[in-house]
Parts: sequence; structure tokens; C-alpha cells
Amino acid sequence: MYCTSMVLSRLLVLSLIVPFVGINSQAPYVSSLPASNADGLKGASSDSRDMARQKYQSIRISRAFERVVLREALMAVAKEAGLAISFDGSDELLTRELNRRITAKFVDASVTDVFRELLKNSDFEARSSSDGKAVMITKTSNIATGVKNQATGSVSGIVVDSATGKGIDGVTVALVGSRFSVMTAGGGRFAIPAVPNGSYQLRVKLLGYVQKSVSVAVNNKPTNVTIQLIASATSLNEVVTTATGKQRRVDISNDVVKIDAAKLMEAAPVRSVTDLLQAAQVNGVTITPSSGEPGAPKRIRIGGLGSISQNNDPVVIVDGVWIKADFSTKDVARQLGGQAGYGGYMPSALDAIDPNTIETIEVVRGPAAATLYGPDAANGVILITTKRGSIGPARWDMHYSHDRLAPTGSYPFLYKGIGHPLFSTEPMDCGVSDIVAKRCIQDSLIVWSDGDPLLRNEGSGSTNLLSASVSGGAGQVRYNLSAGLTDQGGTRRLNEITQARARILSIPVENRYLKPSQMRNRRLSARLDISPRQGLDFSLSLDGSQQNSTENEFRMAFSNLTVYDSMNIVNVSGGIGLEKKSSRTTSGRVSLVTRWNPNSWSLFSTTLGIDKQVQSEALTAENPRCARGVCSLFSVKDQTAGREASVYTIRAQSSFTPSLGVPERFIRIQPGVTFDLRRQVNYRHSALIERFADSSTSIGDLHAGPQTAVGGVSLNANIRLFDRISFDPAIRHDFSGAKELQNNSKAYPRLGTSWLVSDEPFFPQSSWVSTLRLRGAFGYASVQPTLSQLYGRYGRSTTTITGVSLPTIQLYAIGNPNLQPERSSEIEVGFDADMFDERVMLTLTYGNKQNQNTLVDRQLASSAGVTSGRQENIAKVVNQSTMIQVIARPIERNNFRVRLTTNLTFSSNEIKALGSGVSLYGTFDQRYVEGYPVGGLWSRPVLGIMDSDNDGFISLSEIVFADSLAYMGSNMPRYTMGNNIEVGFLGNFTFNAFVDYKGPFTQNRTFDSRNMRGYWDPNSSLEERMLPTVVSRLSGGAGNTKDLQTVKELRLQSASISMNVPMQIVRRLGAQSIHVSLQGSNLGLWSQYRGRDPGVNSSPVGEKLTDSGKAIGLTRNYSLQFRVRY
Amino acid sequence: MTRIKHLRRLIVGAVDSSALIRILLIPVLLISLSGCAIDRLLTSSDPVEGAVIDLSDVKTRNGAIRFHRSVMVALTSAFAQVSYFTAVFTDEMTKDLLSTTYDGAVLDARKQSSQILPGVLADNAYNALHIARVNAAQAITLLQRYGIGADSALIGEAYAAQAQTIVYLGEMFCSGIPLTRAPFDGGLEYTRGMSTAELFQTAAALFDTAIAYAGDSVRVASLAKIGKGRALMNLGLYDQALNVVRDVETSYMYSLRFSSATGGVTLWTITTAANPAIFEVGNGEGENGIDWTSTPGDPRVPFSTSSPHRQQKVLGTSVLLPMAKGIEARMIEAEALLQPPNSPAGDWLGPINSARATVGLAALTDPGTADSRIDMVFNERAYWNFLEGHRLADYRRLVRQYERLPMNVYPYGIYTQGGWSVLAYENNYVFSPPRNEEERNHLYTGCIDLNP
Repeated sequence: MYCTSMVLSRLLVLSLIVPFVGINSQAPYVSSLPASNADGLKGASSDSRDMARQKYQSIRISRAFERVVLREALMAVAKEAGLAISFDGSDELLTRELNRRITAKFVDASVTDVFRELLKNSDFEARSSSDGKAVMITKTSNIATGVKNQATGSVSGIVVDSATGKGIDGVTVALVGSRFSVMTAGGGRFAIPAVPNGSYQLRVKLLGYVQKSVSVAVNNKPTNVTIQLIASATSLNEVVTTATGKQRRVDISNDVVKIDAAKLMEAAPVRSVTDLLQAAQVNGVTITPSSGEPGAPKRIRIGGLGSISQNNDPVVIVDGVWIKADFSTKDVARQLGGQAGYGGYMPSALDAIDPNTIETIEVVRGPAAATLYGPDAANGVILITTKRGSIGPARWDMHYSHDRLAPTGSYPFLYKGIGHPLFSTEPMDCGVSDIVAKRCIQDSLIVWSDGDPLLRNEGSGSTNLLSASVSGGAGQVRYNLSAGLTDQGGTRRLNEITQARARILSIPVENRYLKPSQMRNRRLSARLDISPRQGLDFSLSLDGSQQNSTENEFRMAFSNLTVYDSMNIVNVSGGIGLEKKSSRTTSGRVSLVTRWNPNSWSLFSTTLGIDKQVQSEALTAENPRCARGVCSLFSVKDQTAGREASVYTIRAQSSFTPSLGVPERFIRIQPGVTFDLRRQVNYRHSALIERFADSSTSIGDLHAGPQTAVGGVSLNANIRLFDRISFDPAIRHDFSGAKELQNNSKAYPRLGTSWLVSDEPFFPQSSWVSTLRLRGAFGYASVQPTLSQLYGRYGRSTTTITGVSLPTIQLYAIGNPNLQPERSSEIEVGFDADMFDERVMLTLTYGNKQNQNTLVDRQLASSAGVTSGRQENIAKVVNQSTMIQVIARPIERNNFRVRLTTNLTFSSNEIKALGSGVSLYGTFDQRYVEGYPVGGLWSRPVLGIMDSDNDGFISLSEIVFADSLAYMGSNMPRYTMGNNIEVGFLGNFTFNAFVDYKGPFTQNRTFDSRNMRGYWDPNSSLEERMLPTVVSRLSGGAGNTKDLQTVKELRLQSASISMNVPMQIVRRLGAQSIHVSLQGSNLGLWSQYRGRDPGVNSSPVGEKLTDSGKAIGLTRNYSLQFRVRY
Repeated sequence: MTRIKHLRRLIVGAVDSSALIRILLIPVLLISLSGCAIDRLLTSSDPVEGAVIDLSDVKTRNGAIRFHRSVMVALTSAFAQVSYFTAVFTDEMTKDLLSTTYDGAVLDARKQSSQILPGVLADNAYNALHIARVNAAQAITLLQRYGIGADSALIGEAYAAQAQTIVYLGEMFCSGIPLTRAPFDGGLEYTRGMSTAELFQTAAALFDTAIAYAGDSVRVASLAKIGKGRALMNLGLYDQALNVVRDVETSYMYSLRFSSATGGVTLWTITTAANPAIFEVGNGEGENGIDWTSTPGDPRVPFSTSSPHRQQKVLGTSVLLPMAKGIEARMIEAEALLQPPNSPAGDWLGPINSARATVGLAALTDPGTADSRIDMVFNERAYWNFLEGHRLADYRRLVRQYERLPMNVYPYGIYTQGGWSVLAYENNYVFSPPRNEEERNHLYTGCIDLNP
């Protein structure tokens, strides 16, 4: 039995050594100084300032310093003495001097002595301000020469947070153009003494706040100012949650995107979590909806496609618990022999969560992900944190929105030719090929579209979302309870002509068939935060939801019923089909997070959680047979299929911040150990009951699916130097339930660094770049192979032996126990800059991810005895992306403000190698070819067409195809751009618009050739007449045309006007706040796409992009939203 | 070292040491516990058990038995492919005079050109045989591990199936066929090509194991004995073959539902009235072929008497066709008794005539010469084994063991008939594995020889 103890022990020993190694690199030991009682401060004025001087000298200090950086020691003394301290200049000499380490001990020494002793043997001395409240460290020569003989004054004051009014320490206050630069202390106070008379710009700067400049005039007397700093919206100082706990964003070496759910929901029509992600326009994140139908799932891709044969879905973690987010309709449909389109929709697991219950969503990509979140995090991580209550009386939040949905885009006009045979008047379908074959004479050509009132299959729909929550807390308990309901009626309709047919045949059409698409999602969630004592917190989070979606099909399949215009019934016999398709997803999640901070420098936390999802699909098909208006039930078929999945999470982590004997602002090390384990258990079930008149058959099955367990231990550390340079090394070792993987797994190291270069003394002070951070990270990540790839794949079948059908088990594919997890290395570099007085924030990130041993199905020699291939780690895939984010606030006035956000991503994806013996991988039109993107789309181009026999019909021989398949394009957009403009006006109003661009990407439009103009109309263009013929050639004979198009799309994703109702009205209504918003989504689409909607893809899971052509496009929604807080 | 000690003092001195130890102890304890617990958590449920759909079912007694059934299905497919290919390649079938249907794959096989362009039919047979072989090997593992209480004869049957596929590989293809291993527990082990003799020796050894597992199952034991006899005959070990098959009952038959397999269905469709009917019963094809139509009414080769002469042995989709039968044991006996030192003293005609008597055919008399005796035995074999995948192997043995010239054994020369204007048989008689073997199996170096 493989035992991980040894490995873990080694890793643990390493974790204990880490802090020592860090300290070991510091400066050498400095001998201690004896205390002294020498009097006076050089340079302090005498006569007029005796009082102040006496007060100053009376301050007594008792303090010991051991290997402390001089700057910190001076600041500590000043703080203890209640003095503001400033440093005169920022030249190299001063910097070097202040950074040396000292060891000293003072017992009841005067502050003057303390400063003198500390500055002994240096070229600097301490000088008190005239009022005795501040001290400045300045060069002795400065006092001896110019300054001494010049008329001076002083500048002092306080820097406060504009929101709280509280003083802020650590703010850099500098007189532009002079050597004077001080730092606030003692509650935001600062003082700059002995400033030569004149006019100055006082620049005030602290990370996390908008830099500010004020004018001051110094004229022989003290000048006092109060400066308010506004917290920067583009803060690098914000705290984000990582796997190892909360960290300042500036200390994290990779770009982390944090979405404020509540804020975004006010600005954009968000009805689900995937809507939230879509609206957030996160760089590198692609959201592809499968349909505009209610509850339709969406595919999420972060940072492109790294795997060829493995899952590219990101990891989703809610309140610390992993959830299974890669369910698909297809998974369930496969249970019944791969019957596609089985019914309803399986929603994205994310959409089981009420977006109103979410506090933040963080999107983690790049090298950080794997070492923190383990296997499969190579595809990115979505971290969701739910809202918690806060101490206080019960606070009620209600959200109601009503959306009107309207179909958008027009499916191409549909055609049908009607004619009669040469020697009869009996109407018949008559197309171009029929005319050419002289089977008919065409009398008329019917053209219709979605807009045709008789044939219209779409109408308006609606969505109602109601969510209510109550939160509050008292004593040691905080709570947040929430309930939500989403009710959606889709835009699909049973067209008038079908209804008319049913009426004529006296077939009742139930209401459910008139509006066939419905979805209802009910959610309940609760979160309880208990703090029984200081430093100990428990968070219990419960969440449950159920989504039902139905698709009720009323189909009429009459063999001889033909309805031409004016409802002329020619003949009636045949059958009709009634289908009710439904899907249900019930999910629940429980998580318990325990945090223990026994003291200020250590943290221990555990997370235990379960996520469970039960999904089922059902199809009830009733097939009455009708003849001459009389119908009888012929057969009933009930099919159900489903699956269950449970994910158990165990996670524990510990971190501490050892005191290194030096102030944290010089060096701070926070090592940590994280252990996690998640176990996933799957079940699948299916049942088929089929009744034909008096007989019935039933087949049912329930069996276990994959049960997987993965986990790992990671050691990590955050090392911060001088409050501006951070390193976050980490290393992770994975465990796996598959022994082979365990044996083959490797450690996944990572190293990242972040450098706040604008805080360096050499960085020029300028208004156009106030903050600049450089960051870079390199790390490894993994994607695990499936167990069937390791152990082989077996399936069920039956065989008939002596007339009896008996079950068999067949070998489909052999496994490969030598498989390793796909290992990718990723480098991410970039910078963040606050520019133009922090009106602009620019973020640029370049990422390069290389999957060195991507899994590919290598075909085997025939002697291996299996027809399928076997997975091997032999391919190489490279993803590159450049992501730019610009946030600008060009106008910031009290009643008018404009904020512009642009997210731009350039990405590329290429299969560098497929591996020896693998030259081609994939299906006919979607292929994996060296030198081309993963899952690129291929087709055989038409080089020319000519109706050589001039008969009006384009036969295959009249079309010239290219000799070989040609690459048509990637299924992922090369460029994506998300733009948001936010305009605040008249105090309470906000206008938001979100515009998205993506392209070029290749969409595979599939549609029925029998509705095409070229099929019916002899007067259509050559190209149109060619398309129906091309059907069989390009799609392997199927009755659908695959029309590959490389498209670009620009979409007005949404626009909204929101209003915070004036407080006098709010109070009159007894509320705390009321927010009303008028919103619209999918308001405009500009694209050359010939199909319904280029942004819709009916194959939401996996890589294949197929717009079925008949798929409902994204609907255009107009909504009214209310948010009320009591 | 001193520096580290100092640094340790610095840290430990700077913090509450007991608290630090407490904090560190928690992950230490957790990880120490997990050193044991992780393994348990990870492996408490065997991941293989639930690795993929149905795998949990495989690793049970029922699973093993169900898997064994699929081996029989695979064996049937392989047997059907062998029979189909043998029929159209040898003189058993000839081109239908009336048919204008062209089947490139079949005609390639007819022209024996697969050395130049790998024949589709030969490839299909090669693939199907290896599938059956690998499945049988996995079934043996499963039955041995999980089939507790299952009839051990099932194991014997799987061994016999595995051996039978190897016999076919040796009979049909060139010397140098690899027997790649793909065991149940995963993994893949490509192997070098084995000589034809090695293949037959391997098969004989597997048949021995099958006999041992067969226990009191006469059905399985007889299958294995006939199979072993066939392998030994291919090795020229006549006496051993004689001893192995001697106690097999003449009435014994091990049949497979021939037409339910792809190759079987195809053989049915292209040789009977069903479309496309390309072939009819052979009529002395290519100078050396037997004119089966000259013996209408022979119950061993049923065909329609009017032209075209459609075979009537494989009809419909539920025909059971024997892969091994007691008659074959008698034929082995007869041939073995003709070999020195038995020949001509042994009663070699006895087994032949006892077989003929089972279907009411008149007894044969000794033709008098050694060659004519051999001819008679092989002629009897041809009739008894019509469409059962023996004829090609008989050609091989006539050339390899009786030193007949290929041009006097195989369909040979110019052959004109029916819809073809001219068909020239080439002198390629054996078949290479599909080209992918060379491309994907790094240990495979091609045919060792192409002896006819």
C-alpha cells in the first residue's frame, strides 16, 4: 500500500524550514548601544520655542530594539512619543542609512537622547518642529548651510479617509519639487518643519486611495491642512480570498478578478450566476449559452482550451466546497443509448445558486490556480462566496424583476414549392430536382418566416424573479436567510397552423403545448456565522434548489395530410405525436467552515462540505393514430434517465506570521500548509417503459458511476519585503484514488512575485503614473485523466444464445496505467498602473500556458485487439493570451460621473504536436491537427459551381470541391472585448451599457436543407441551389447542411437606467433604500452570421460548436427591477 | 548551522512558543493522521470498482460470466470473417455468371493482391481474430479472479477460443504475427512477430490448458482437442494429433450462430439470392478448383441446382455453423494414419467412411497411390468443411507439408467467367497484417516469410 506519510513528512519539514531560510538572507548582526542622557537636539530653535522644546524634551522613552531597521526604530520612537516624523528627502544616502539594522536598548531616556543615539555615526540628525509635535530626520549639512539661513515655515496637518473621517497612517506626504517627504503617523498626522517659504504642491499618496494634490503656501509660520483621501475603486490594496486565506491583492502575483455581485446586479440584468459572469466581462472568460430557451445551460471556458480529450471545465468552489459543474444534457441522454435531445435542459450547476445570495465571485486563472486548488484547476477556478449577515437588527432585502422576452434575429426565410404532377391536378410538393426530373410543374412558391402569423413558432416570453432575504445578528451570531423563485416562460409557441389542424381533427391541444418551454427554479439558502469567542468563527452554509424545465412538443405526423394555404385539407390519415420532455435538477450544498485565530499571527481553518446534485430527464411520448378525424392511442413511451453526483470536500489549512524581530513593513513572512481532499461519487439510472396498445416492456437500471477521490498537500508562503515586494512560492503534491496516478504524480511548484515599483524611492513622482505594480508568476498545473482512461472502458450489451437474450459485457477500450495527469506550465506576467491622478487604471497581463503532455487517443495496432485507441501523454498544446483592462473615470463630479471599462483579450491556441503516431484526431468537421487550434473546424471548400447542363439543378458533378479539407477557423474567438459605460447623474441615477465584441470564431450552422430556397426555387441563385446538394458531401450524407461560417459579432449586451429612490420617499415607505432599474438585454446584434444567433451553441459541454440552426437565439429582454431594503 | 540556530532562537523567542507549537501541531497531526487516513479515504472504495460505467459489474462473478459471453460473440465474428474470406479466396466460391456487381474488396482478395494493397477482407479477419483473442485472455483473468463458483469449463472455453484464434492467424497470415497483450488490469505490451510454427505451438499449449480446465465438460474438452489436433497437424505432428482427437465423438459439433456475425451475414448476402449476390458455388475455378457443382445432392455442399448455383448452407440470420466438429477429428485421424510409418498399413479409410456413413454417403475405396490417397483425404476435408474456414489452411498444408507446387493447389492462372473479362490470379498466397501493425507496433518488423 502506497503510504503518503513519508512524502507528507518531508513536505512538512520543508514548511518548517521555510521561514528560517527567509530570515537567513537578511543583514548581519549589529552590536547594541548603551543608553545616554546627552541633552538637546541640534538645530532646534531656542527662544520662541522654549515651551515646545521643554515639552519635547520631557518625553521619556523605554524601549529595546534588536536588529531593527533604523527607519522603523525612529518611527517607533516617534509614535511612542506622539510625534509625527518626517524624513527630509529621499536620496540614496538617506535610504541606505535608514535601512541599516540597529540593536539598542533605552530605559527612561529622553526622546532627544534616543534620536541622537540612534543617529549616532550618521550624517543625519533629528530636528523638532516649532510646535514640538513633529520631528524631521534631516542631513546635518542641510542645517549647517542653506536651510539654516533661509526664512522657513512648516507644513503640518492630518490625512483622513473621506468615508470614515478617521486618520490614516502610513500616507506619504511630499512637497512636489522639494526634498521634503514625510509619512503620517499617530492617527494620520504629519509635519514638515523648516520648509523654505514659497508655494508648493502637497502630494498625498497611499496605495488603495486616490492620490491627491493640494496647494500650500509657506510663509514664516506653520501651515495646517486637512486632506481627505478617497478610497480608490481600482485598488490594488483590496483584500481577496485565496485558498490560503485572505490576502491583499497587491501581494498576489497573479491577476485575480473579483466581482461584486450586488453592484453588478444593479447595473445589468442578471438572473443567474452565469449571467453574472457574462455581465462581468472578465478577460479570458468565455461564456457560451446553448440556447435562448429557459434554463438552457452555458459553457464556461477560462483561458482557452488546454486539453484535447479531457475536461476543459473550470473548477467551481462555493463557500469552500467543490461543486460538480460539468453536467450536461448529453451525459444523461447517453444513459439511454445516446438518444440526443432527450428533453429539457440540464442547467449549469452554477445556476442552481441564487445570484442574490452571492457576495463576491473571484475568477482565478493562471499559475496560481493549480497549487492552490489542485487537480483540474488548470482550467481556472471560480470562487463563490455567499453573503453573510452583520450584527444588527433584521434587515430585509427584496428583489423582484419582471422580464419580457422577445425572440431576436430571424431564421432565414423558409421555402416550399407546391405544384402538381404533369397529368394530374393533385397538389404535391414540388422542388427544383422534381421539376428537373419532370415529376411536377410548380404552381407556387410559399415563403414564410418566423414572422408569419400562421407558422410562427415563437412569441413573447417572460421571466419573473423574486428573491427575499433577511439578515442580521446579535451577540455572537449572524445570519442570512434567503429564498428565491425564478419562473420563466420561453418564447417558443405552437404555431397557428398546427393548432388549426388539431381543431379540424378534434384533437384537444392542452395549454402546455401552446407554450412548450417552461422553467421554474426554486432556491433556499441559509448562512449562519457564529463567533463563540474571540478568534473562533464557524460558518455554516446551506443551499438547496430545484429547477424544473419542460419542453412539451405537439407534433403532427400525417402521412397524407397536406395543408396548403387557406387550410385546405386534402386528406387525413396518419398519426400525431405528443411529447412531453422534462428535466429536473435538485441540488443541495452544505458547508461548515471553522476559523480559529488563537492570536494575531496564526490562523487555522477547516472546511467540510457536501455538494449533491440529482438530475433526471423524462420523456413521455404519446402517439395517437388518427384516420379521418378519429384518433386512438397507439403507444405510450416513458423514458427516464438521470444521474446523481455527490462531492465531499475536506479541507484544512494553517498559516502563521512569525515575528522576525523587525517591523512587518520591512519583512513579513506568512508560511502555510493546506490539505484538501474531495471525493466524488456518481450514480446513473435509466428506465424505459414502452406500451403498445395492450403490451408493455420495461427496462430499468441503476448503477454506480465513477467514484473518484483526489487531494493534496500544498506548502505556501507569502513573503513581503518593504511593503512593496512580494513572493508567493508554493508547492503542491497531489494524491489520487487511482494508485497509478498517485505513483505517476509529480509535485506542482509555483513561484510568483509582485513588485510595487512606484513605491521605490527611485520611481519618479508624476501625476500620470501614481501606482505601478509589476507582477509575474510561473507554475505548474494538472488535469487528471479519467479512471476509464486508466483502467479501460467496458460497456453493456446483449447477445442471443439459443434464442434467449442474455446480457454481456464488452470491452470498448483498454486502459493505460502509465498515464500521468496532463501537466501544464504557465507563465503570467503583467502590470497594474494607476494613471492620471488615478482616473485611469491600466492592467495588462500576458499568459503563456503550455500543456506538455496532453492526453491524446493514440490508435493501436490491430494486434492489440481493440478497435479504439488508448490515451497517452504525448501531445502538446500552447495557449497564449494578452489581456488588457482599462478602467477610466474621465468625469468625477458630484452630480455627474462617468466610468468606462474595457476588457480586451487576444488569445491564441495551437496544437504544437499530437505525438508520434497520431496525425489526425477528431471527427469529420472538427479536428485536432498539428499547427491548428484545438477542435478547429474543417471543411472541403467549394471552388466553383456551374450549371453545365443548364437544367437549373446543381448536381454534385457540377460542383468543384477542393481536394482536401481546409481549415475554416477556431471555435474560440481570437479577440474578445467587453465594454461598460457607467454614467451617474442627478445624484440618484445611473446609466449602464455593456457592449461585447468577439471574433473571429467559426460557427457550425446546421439546418434543414428542405427549407432552403435553393431546394425549391428554380429562380434562386446558383449558390443557393448548390447548398442543398452540398449537404450530403459535407455532412456525410445526413439530411442537414453544415454551414461553417467564420463570424464576428458585436452585441449590445445590456443597458439599464437605475435610480436610487430619494431618501424622503424611502423613509416615508419605511424602507432603508429602494433601487429601481429599467433594464434591457441583448438589445442589438451586429454580425454577418447567416444563422440565427452566432453566440448560441447547442452543444454547451465539450468543445464542439454547433448551432443547430433551429436553436432559439438569445432573447431580447426588457425588465423592470426593484430592490428594496428594510 | 550557527546562523540557523540563531534564527530559530530569534523566532521562537519572539513568539509565544507554546502557541506556535499548538498551531503547527494541528497540521502536523492532521497530516500525520492523513498519512494513514488519506490512503484509506482515497482507497476505501476501490477506484477501479467504479472507474467507468459497468466496470463494477465486470469485477463480479456475474460480470465475468457476462464478459465471457462477449468473448463468444467476438469469436463468432472472427470465425465468420475467416470463413467469409476463405470462401471467396479459395475455390469454394466463384464469380456469379449473372452478377454484374463489383465488390473491390472481394475482388482484391480473389486476385490475391493483398501483398500489394492490403486486402480489406484479410484485414477484417486479422482485426476480428485479435479482438477475440484479447477478449478471451481478459475473460480468463476475470473468471479466475472473480468467477468463484462459476463452471471452470468457462475458463477452458475461453482458453480454447484464444487458441483457436491463434490457429487461424497462423493458417491465414504470413509468418511473423505478433500476439500483443492487453491484459484486464490495463497496460499494453506489444510483441514481436512469432513464426508460424511458434503460433501453432502456442495454440497447442493453450488448448492443453483448456483441456485441463474443461474438467468433465465434453463440449469444451472436445473443442480443445480438435483445436489442438488442428494445430498439431499444421506443425506436421501427425501422431500427436491422432492421439489427441481419437476419443472425440464423430457426432460432436461446436457451433456458432454464424450469420449473426458481420462476416457471416455478408457471406450469406453475397452468395445467396439476397442482394448483392456476387458469388456462386465453385465450379473448378482457376484450373485447380473443385467443381462442387459436379456432385449435386451431396449433403455436405448444398446448392441450388439451377444456374447460378447458390450455396444453401449458410441461409438466413440464424444458422449455426460448426467451428469444430467430430468429423474433423475423423479427417485428422485418416490423414495421420496415412503418414509413415502408419501408411499404408493403417486403416486410414475407416474414419473417412465412418464419417460418410453419418450422412448416408457410400464408402470410398483406396485409390492406390500415396498422392491419390492424400488427394482423397483433402477432397473429403473440402466437402465436409465447406464454408467453415478450412480450405485455405488445407492449401497451406498441401504446399508446406506435402510439397505440392502452389500453382497446383491454389486458384491459379487466367480465369475468365461471367461478368469479368479476364481475371489473372497472381502468385501471392499469404497475407500480411494490416499496415497499422507496422506503423503502431514498434516491435513488429514485418513478415518473416511469405511462404505459400
